[in-house]
Amino acid sequence: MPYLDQVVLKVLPDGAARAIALEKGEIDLVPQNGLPEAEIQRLAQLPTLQVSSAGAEALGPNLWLEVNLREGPLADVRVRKAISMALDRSRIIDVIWYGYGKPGIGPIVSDNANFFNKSLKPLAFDIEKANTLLDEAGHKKGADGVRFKLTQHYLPYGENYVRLAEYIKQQLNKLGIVVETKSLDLASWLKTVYTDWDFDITTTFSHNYSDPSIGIERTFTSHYIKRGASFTNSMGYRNPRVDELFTAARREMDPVKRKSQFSEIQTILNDELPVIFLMEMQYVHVWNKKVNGLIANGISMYSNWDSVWKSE
Amino acid sequence: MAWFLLVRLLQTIPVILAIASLNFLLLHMAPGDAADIIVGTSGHGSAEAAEELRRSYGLDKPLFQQFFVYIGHLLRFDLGVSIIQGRPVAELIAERIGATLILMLSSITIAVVVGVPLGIFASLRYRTVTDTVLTVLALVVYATPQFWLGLMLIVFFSITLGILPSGGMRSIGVELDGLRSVIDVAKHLILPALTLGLFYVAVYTRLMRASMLDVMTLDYITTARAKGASELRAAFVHAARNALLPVVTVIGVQVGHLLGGSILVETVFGWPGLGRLVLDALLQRDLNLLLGILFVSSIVVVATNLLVDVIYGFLDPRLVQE
Amino acid sequence: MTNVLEFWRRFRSNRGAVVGFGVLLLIIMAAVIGPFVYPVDPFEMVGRPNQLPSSRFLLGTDVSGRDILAGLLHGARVSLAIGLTASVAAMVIGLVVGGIAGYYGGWLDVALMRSVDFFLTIPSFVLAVVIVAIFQPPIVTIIAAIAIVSWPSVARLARAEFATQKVRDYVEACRAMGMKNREIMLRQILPNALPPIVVVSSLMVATAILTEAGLSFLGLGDPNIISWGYMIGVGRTVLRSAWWVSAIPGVTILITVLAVNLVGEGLNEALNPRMRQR
Repeated sequence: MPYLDQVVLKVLPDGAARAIALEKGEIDLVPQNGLPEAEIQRLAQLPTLQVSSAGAEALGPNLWLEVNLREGPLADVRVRKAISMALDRSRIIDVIWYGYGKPGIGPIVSDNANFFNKSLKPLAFDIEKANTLLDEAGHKKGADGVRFKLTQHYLPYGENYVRLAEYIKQQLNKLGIVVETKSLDLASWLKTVYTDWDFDITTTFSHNYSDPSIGIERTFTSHYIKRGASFTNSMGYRNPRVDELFTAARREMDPVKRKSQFSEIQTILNDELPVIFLMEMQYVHVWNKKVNGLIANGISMYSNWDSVWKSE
Repeated sequence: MAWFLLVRLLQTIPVILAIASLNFLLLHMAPGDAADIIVGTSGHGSAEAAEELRRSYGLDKPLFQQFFVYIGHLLRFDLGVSIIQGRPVAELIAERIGATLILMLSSITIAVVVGVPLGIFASLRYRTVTDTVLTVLALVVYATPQFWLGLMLIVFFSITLGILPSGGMRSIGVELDGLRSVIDVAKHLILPALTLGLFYVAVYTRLMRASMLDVMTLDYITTARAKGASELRAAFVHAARNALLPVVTVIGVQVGHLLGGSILVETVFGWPGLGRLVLDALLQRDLNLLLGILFVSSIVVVATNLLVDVIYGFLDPRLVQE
Repeated sequence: MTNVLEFWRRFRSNRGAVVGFGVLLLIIMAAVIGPFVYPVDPFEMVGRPNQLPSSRFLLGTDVSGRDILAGLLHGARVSLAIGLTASVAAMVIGLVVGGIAGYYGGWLDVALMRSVDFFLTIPSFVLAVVIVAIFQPPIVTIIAAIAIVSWPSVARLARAEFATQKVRDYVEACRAMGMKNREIMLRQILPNALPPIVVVSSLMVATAILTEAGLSFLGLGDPNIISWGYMIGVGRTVLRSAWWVSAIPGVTILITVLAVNLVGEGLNEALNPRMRQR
């Protein structure tokens, strides 16, 4: 070991080009969603190629809608619950991500056997109930059918997020919430969301990593409400109990106790919805069947590939 | 003649400087800067870290101070360093400019070599079916969005027929050299060059046709016709040369248009040229890179216009006396 | 009245222009009443994605399962609105700048025309991309960007027109009568200078539509509206399997731009009788 003599990293900026290169055998591997999902479906039919979403369990990418809790209608948990009920997770997964994903339930992905709280109950997709809930929250529809307006941002990481933003806007419209989508490039988006806090809702995703202290703590503790710190607590979420639990979990040595601490965190977050959990993403890799041994652990594509070999 | 050239050359300097200033101003009006991106995408950023970066790159200085630094560098032909990529801007441009120039030259060549004869041909077949067909075709091509045309060409030649590559400049994973490398690039060049060039084929066809018709109704043509075949041929050649004058002017305009069109076409075909670099640099707020590219492309446009003026002056000496 | 009839007669004699005009009328009608006659929300997921045209979805569905026909109808409004507004804005700015330069001459002329030349040296689409990418859409930015890159050509033409007219006898006569400059420019010269400017502006509508399409395709458009260029961009990821998603909106742009060009040429022939008969 290592068996490979050489690994060549080719930078191809275009997804379709990568697909063609893989198909023709010009390259051997496109890891971690490097291919547009439409292409993955097509390539999965080919006998020479292998498609897999294994080998990324220690990454646990979790897609959610971050909500600015500081003021306005979004400060009310009922409004957030209504928004969650208006979004059909299976639709999002099937249509936008071509089935490569699972409905988001909580801050920790369901694949994480160590820490996932199996008793969590997600809210069902129900537009009527959502509308009723908004009525109860005191946001009645005006004469034009509008309850209130929101601005939506989205993570500028590609076409899928544009489609998702469009879907969210459509669905919230059915609740009488008029959404204006703002399209920003990465620099402006980072500044707007994580420095200026000048947003209402925005899609984004976060890596769980293998341990919640590394992964989700930076999103849900009040310690991480810092201007300019990207991919942290942009929502302004403060829950002393959650803070307490995270701090305790950092030092806790007993795995059983630790698990129950994280379980409680998940329950609280599932109830309070400081972010609206959308989808557990899947990292899909496609490779030429001549290559073997790629899936070695939970972060295979970031791993050292000492057991990878290629047949003739 | 040399004097004329010198005057024109001197006139271009303030223009280029003005363009550079405008670019600088525009880009600094954008919210967010390179420091935001670098810090933001690193994953564990903070406002302090961004400020640090800004200080080290001189991005925190007052605007006009940055501006003078920039102009100073420009006059020394120093385009600075790309903040995002960490390499000299001139190097990045040099890598990509070849690809864009090949693309531009091929599309101009296609446009002229196909469009001019077609235009002459149409004018000779004036008011026949051929003429109508050519004119209609030219109109249709002229109305087609270039990027869409590129996509459709990919669908037809690359996906359906499978005879041409769908993108990139070279085949991946194979090391070719010498003639085979040239052929490989040529194969990849066909569709993007056609996409960019077809629009101007239509333009030149119509232009040549129109100016040929203009010229052919003049008296000296009718006289030549009366005098016999050889006279007619000479007159025809003379007519064609005169008709080319507006075409030469348009070539100058085409270069500017091509730089813009290359953003779209290079995106569609994944062609590794300056057009794509502009878009990437813009989205990443890579100021130095962007300013560098814009500066270089304005020089190209200005230089081309100058060249066009010179050629026009040779063809039509009356103009030089101005 | 005879002028109008004369104009119509000349316009009508150009068959291409008449065809273009008819097509343009159809498109305008589709834009105006289409969404009422076919009230499908172009953003709504109404079916399975990437369907071929069928009896249920006359033009099929796109990557998100949205009705392509609905998208076209709404996109028509966007393209025409942007095209018209941007061109009118460019025409007005160009007229003002060029008219002043041409009429008053002197250093004002030189200064204004230098700035026009300067604008013409910058590749227009590049400038539009830079403006929109910096100031971010909404739709107003796009219109402004297109207007900013288009007005210089109008200004050039306006200056030439005003400069030529300025030395004509009738203007001298008006001046001798003591007419104010502004009145001369507005009441006397403008009606005569307008025809070629209207022609150039109408052709600019076509360019504006294409520019907007290009911007939307690159993802620089307004995400709250559907435009034809945007639809082409959406279909790019499924070019292999559902090429019609990109093809259909492209054909629509082609037809519209073609119609505008034909009408523009017809206007040219009708308004500029000095053009020799061909």
